[in-house]
Formats: sequence, C-alpha cells, structure tokens
Amino acid sequence: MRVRVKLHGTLRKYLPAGSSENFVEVDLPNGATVGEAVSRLAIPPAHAKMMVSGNEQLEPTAVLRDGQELNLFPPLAGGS
Amino acid sequence: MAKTFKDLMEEARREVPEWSTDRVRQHLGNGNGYVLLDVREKDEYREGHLDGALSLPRGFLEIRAEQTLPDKATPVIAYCAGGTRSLLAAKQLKDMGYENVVSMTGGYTAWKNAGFPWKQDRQFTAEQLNRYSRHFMLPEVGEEGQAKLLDAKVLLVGAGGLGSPTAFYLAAAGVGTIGLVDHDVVDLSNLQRQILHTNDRIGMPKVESARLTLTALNPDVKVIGYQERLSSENIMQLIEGYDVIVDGCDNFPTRYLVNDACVMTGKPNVHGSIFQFEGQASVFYPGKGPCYRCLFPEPPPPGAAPSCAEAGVLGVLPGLVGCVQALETIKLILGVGKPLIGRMVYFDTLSMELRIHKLRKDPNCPACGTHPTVTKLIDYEEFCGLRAGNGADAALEHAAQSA
Repeated sequence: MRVRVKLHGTLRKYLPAGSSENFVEVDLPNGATVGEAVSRLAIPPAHAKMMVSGNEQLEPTAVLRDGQELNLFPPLAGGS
Repeated sequence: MAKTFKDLMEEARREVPEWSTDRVRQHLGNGNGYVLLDVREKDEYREGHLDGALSLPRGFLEIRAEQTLPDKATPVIAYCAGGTRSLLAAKQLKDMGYENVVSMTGGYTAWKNAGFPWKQDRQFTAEQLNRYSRHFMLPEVGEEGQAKLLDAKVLLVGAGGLGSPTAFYLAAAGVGTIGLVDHDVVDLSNLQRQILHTNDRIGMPKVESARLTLTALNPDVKVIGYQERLSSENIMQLIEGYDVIVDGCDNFPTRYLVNDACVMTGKPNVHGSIFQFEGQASVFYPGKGPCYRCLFPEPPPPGAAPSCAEAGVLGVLPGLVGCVQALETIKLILGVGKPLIGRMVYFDTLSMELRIHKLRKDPNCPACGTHPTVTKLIDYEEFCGLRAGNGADAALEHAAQSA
C-alpha cells in the first residue's frame, strides 16, 4: 500500500533530496503502522511526536490504510 | 380614532398582568425561570439594576427583543423606573408573540425603596464608553465583558515576536493588567517583526519599550515589566496573581518551565510557537485538556528545533500566531466561544494551509497524567540537554539569552 506522509516545520529536512513539495509517498506492506512509516523515512522517533491523520492524533501503533495521508508535526521552539 | 396615552395604558393593563415588587421577589426566589428585563435607558441601568436583569432599553425593544429573548415562551418580568414604560414595553412584547410577560408596578424605584437587593455594574468613564464602543455592541462582550477585560491580569512570557502583537491587541482591548517577562534589550535585528519596539529605543530594556508603546495606545492598561530571566526560582512568584499566562518565548527550557508551572497552579497557558514560515497555537488548560507535555513529553534533541535567531523567521509570521494567542486569551477572559483547548491550529504560510487538529490528553503524561512524575520544578536547561559540554553550546547560549 502507499501512504502520503507530510512533513512540517523542522521535519522537512527528512524529505528526500530534491523534493519540491512537503510530502513523500511511501510504499509500505499492508497493515503497516504509523511508527513504521516514520522509521521508513529515517526520522528518529524523538523528532516526530505529533502524528495526525485527518484531524485526529494517532499513536505510533496505529495501523495505516492505503491512500491515507499522515502529517508529522514537530514541536517548534521559536517565538521571539 | 387616534389613541391617547390613557387609552394606550388601559389597553396595556387589560393584557399585561402587573406584579408588585413583593410578588416579583417571591417569584425570583422560587427559581421559576423568569427573565428580568430592564427597559430603562442604558445610563439608568448603569446606575443600578436588579441582579441578573438584562438591559434592553425601550427604544431598542422591537429591534433587539428576538435577539435578546429568542424563545417566545420564556416568562418575562419587565421593569422600568416607575412601572409605566415597562407596562407599554410588555404590551409590545405580547404583540410580538411573547406568551408570558408581566410588568413590575412601581419599577426599580419601588424595588430599591423596599430595601431589596440591587446591583451596580462597573461605571465606565465617557472616554471608555467611546474607546470600547465597538465591544459594547457585541452581545458576547458588552459592558459585562469589558469589565472582565479591564479586571483581567495576563502575563506574557516574552516581549518579542509573539509577545508584540499579543500585547498590542490585549492592550487595545482594554486588558487591565499586562505583565511582561523579558530580560533582553531592544536590538536592531528585532525590529523586522517585534512591533512593540522602535528604532529610537535600541538598547532600551524590552519591557520598558513595551510599557511606553502600550500605555501610549491605551492609558487604561497597567503594564508591569519584569526585566529578568524566567527560571524555576522565580516563575511561581511571577505567575501568582495572573489569570492567564501567554507563552511567547523562544526556547524549549522556558516552554517546559511555563507548562509545568501552569499545570501545578492550574493556570491556562496560551501557547504559540513559530519556525521560519510555520506556526502553531493551542490553549493548554489544566483540568480541561491536554498540556504541552501530553504532546511532547520530552524536548527534541538539542539543535533539532532551532530558534528564530538560528533559523530565521518571516517577520509577519509571529504577527499571525501572536494575534491568535491574543484572541484565545480574550475568549478565555470573556468565557465566550470555543477556545483552542484540546486542539491545535497549525499555519503553513507559504502554502497558506491552515490545519486544526484534535489533541489527546495523555493519561501517562508526566506532568498532568494520573500518576505525574513531575511534581516540582526542575532544571529545565539540563532537561533539554542544554548544559554546556554536550556539544550544544550554541543552543545553550541562545536559550540563556531568550526568555
């Protein structure tokens, strides 16, 4: 199955080189989890804490389905 | 045939029951769901009224009745100063379909003379009536809401990119006391976004510059500057006495410090954070929704989430996110709308995508979970891996400079 993973903020550095968009299509075996998608992109789990699909937050153990869009949000430090 | 005043009064008396002040008091005490409607002019109402009475001056009766009392089955007790205007107003309400309307004989004068309780709202000056006139027009704010704003005390952590627009709009709205914590001084590189400050104030403490700007905008506002670095040692003393804390800082140690102190004291924490072209905002309200640690139990590794000074920021971005923080703060003070509790708004300004997603409260949260492990304030620089000697010197130096 294929899922679209959108990377926001500081996580964009994990997009494949040359990406012009903020997402990457990831091919995963059926039944793969959110954590596996994060791992496939070589994102350290400590960097990707807030995982959202639709408007719902997901656990790393949540099972993805074909065509699903997953958004990964990092904490942002800036403010001044 | 044209009707005389006497004809109109007799006609009204035939249709509208008149209750004595004693009977009104008895009914109100029984909790029968009656709505008290004060039909006198606004200035009469301001001088004193029955507790809980809605103000609907007779001149606006037909125009605003259905907005003020949408359910025409609601039982209504109308009163004025002496009982005449309310009788005519009650008749008019009957004609508009209100099923159960009575008029209080003797009006507010008789009520007060009987020694029954009455209430005087905050007395606004003529200047305030003009300054906040657009707020007074909104039923969600009105005079009661404006009084709440003037009585409110809000502490802003940081008088920089986010703190600038937040402070500006809170001051304009008439938030009576604004505290600002920032130990820094105005630098030329701040002025691309930190709109509280000006070119001629370079080198001036930011809290002093903010005070000058905010009091020039609205002399109603008391601005208290704390030119110090927020720390585990001083935060409890600083936030004490404030109703809402607004996090507009620029580093993780302070964000975790503010979160933990707010969880421990039960104070709402209006969060905003930014990175280059993106920003996020939420309201962490202890007991009502998740806290910052429910989302991010631990900070990212040092250097993984750079500050504005390290990564750059589009100057207008903190304007957008800081305004959301001001708006959420005002909603909390007024108790209106649906605050961003348990939700996060995320802006990507380059694509102009705005996402709002739900946030989950983590039962295992170390700060607000069922068995919290963070029960006292800690060393937040160490917690964030920013102690010298771990290869994160640049981040440490920046964190130490920004609060």
